[in-house]
Amino acid sequence: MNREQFLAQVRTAAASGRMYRVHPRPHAHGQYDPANEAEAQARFQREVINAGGAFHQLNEGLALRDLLASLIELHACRTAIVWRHPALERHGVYEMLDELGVTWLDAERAEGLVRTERRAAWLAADLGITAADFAIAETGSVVVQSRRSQERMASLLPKLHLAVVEPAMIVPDLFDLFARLEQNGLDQLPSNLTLITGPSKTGDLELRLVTGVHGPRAWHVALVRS
Amino acid sequence: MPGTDYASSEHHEFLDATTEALANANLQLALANLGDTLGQRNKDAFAALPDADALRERARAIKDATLAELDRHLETLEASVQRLGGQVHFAGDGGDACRIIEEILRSGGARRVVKSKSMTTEEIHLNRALEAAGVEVVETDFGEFIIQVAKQRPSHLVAPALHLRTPEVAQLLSNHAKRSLPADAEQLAAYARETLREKFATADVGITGANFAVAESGTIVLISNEGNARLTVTMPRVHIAIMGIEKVIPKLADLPVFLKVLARAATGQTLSVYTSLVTGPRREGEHDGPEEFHLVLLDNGRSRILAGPLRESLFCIRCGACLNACPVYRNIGGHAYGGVYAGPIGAVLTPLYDGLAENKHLPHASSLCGACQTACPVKIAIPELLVKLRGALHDSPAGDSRIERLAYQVWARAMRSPRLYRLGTWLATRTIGRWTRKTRWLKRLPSGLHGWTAARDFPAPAAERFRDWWAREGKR
Repeated sequence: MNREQFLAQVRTAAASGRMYRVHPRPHAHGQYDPANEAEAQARFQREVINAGGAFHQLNEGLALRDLLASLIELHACRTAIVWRHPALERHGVYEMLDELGVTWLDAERAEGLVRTERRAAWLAADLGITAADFAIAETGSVVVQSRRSQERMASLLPKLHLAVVEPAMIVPDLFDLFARLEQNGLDQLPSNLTLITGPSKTGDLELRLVTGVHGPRAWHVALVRS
Repeated sequence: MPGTDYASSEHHEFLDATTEALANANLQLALANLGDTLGQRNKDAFAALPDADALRERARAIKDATLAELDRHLETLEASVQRLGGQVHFAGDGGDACRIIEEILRSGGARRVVKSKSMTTEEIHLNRALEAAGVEVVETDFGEFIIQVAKQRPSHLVAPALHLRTPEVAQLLSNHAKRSLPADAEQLAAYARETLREKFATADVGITGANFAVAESGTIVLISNEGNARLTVTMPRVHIAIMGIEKVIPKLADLPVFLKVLARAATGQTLSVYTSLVTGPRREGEHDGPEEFHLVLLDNGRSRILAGPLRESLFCIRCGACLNACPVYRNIGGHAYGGVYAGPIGAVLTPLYDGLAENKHLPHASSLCGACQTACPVKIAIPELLVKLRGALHDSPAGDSRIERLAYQVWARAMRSPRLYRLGTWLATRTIGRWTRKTRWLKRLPSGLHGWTAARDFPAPAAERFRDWWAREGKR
């Protein structure tokens, strides 16, 4: 069956079947509408924890260094995949990793490796560090968009993922995220945009929760004031 | 049939499979908590969501309006995907779809394919076709991986290995690993991670379904808790997505309406762990993601359903909520239904896709209690659809039963004549009604009707007619 036949068949069918009794109420959104930023941040924190994540409220760069140091020690991290992102630069993440003796790989360093070495290094990384493009208070999600220096793998391959979020990245509700994406324009959508809400999970064995089946087993969100 | 393996056979006698399922102790244990876990979480999640009912109505309205102009939205989707550098393929049926995918694999010289869970690929038996073509196909969802190793069929829309218990899975995966694995969910999952990571790293092509496809932007939406769908569209060089045509939604703004209800309905989560919006192949300068993107649009009977009186069944977003809510599913599990889709929605879809006559028991595998409709995030009137199928069955040769025809003829005759009705009820109360005065139940009906009493009793007629009671008591 070719394209024209296929579409003609669908066209005839769509026109001949009947529509249903539906009662659209377009303005009823069930949208989360916090009174202020502090309330939205508190909701974000609560939802991250509900989703099985660990939440860290940090006031400046030094606190982030302490968090990194303890995570690296706890999970025995030697290598990391790191986004190249203004928020991570602002908080001095790259210098901290150097100080803490972690070998890290960003887009630029990866390009210095041959293809097979690069792939092996990515697969072997213990820790993935990303910023976020948005965060959603209502659901406790961190939104990551793929770009040259924002690899999909950073939040996916390592057993531990740390997302560095700044208060300005938080939108109240899922609907707000999509409103922002529309505002930016559909042609600005990245090849991959992922809403991350928790560590990798499965309930496939007797509905019992197991984390880390494919992606990170531990998911840490650091809300850092700039 | 005795000796049938219902976990792997797709076409079998429903009643036999049901009898076997009810006697299967492991299956009964596996199903025991479904209502209290997933079923209850669905209710709690919707109760906590403000304006939940309006959202569900909105999701329904979007589906309805989209289906009314489905051809136009598919053309928009096609144009958007092409603009991004992707290729769109049109598959009239499952055979077409398999051939299209085989051709993509052959032209790229692909030897190994990783798949994330997709009911659509189950529907077209893609794995079988690709394996016959000499390609290694690896299911990567943990449940699907177990099912693939066990050579069985999924028994639940979102938890495909729900029917298996941990010791059985340990046995299966131990055989696969050629070493002994403990009956421990954590360690079995770790084995899957390790085995499958290797497959991801070396696969040439990743195949996914699509939970939604946004026409205006050419975005395919993939939802998973494990992250295997993300790996499938991150590691291999080529991504092929296959979707039923009913999965298209017109606008990006429509998507959050569905996201808000889908995970809540499926597992009670506000969102699943990973919701990925995939918009074309990787862009210039990116280091991961597929270089090539194909979208296969599958009809396979959908346009026939679209034109018919059961169009509403195409609203389904495959969340599995109706399965968890259904007292029948919770007793017999997924395999008994046969076909690809189980539970209440399966009882609608399987007769529609595979033929009503071959699946004549499915529309009756429901007490019409309505729990499925209540749990459904898009409020599909499943009981009504089942009744329509029962009607169609009655009008078809497959539904023709001599004894039923006779019974209705007698009933119709009696109902048209007050005298006959009076005589009939007098006879019934004077005979059976009086004989069973103590028990009020009939334990055995005569041959031809004994199907009813094989598994339960039949209520006996009263010992006294209402009209006699009224004639006596009404005068007081």
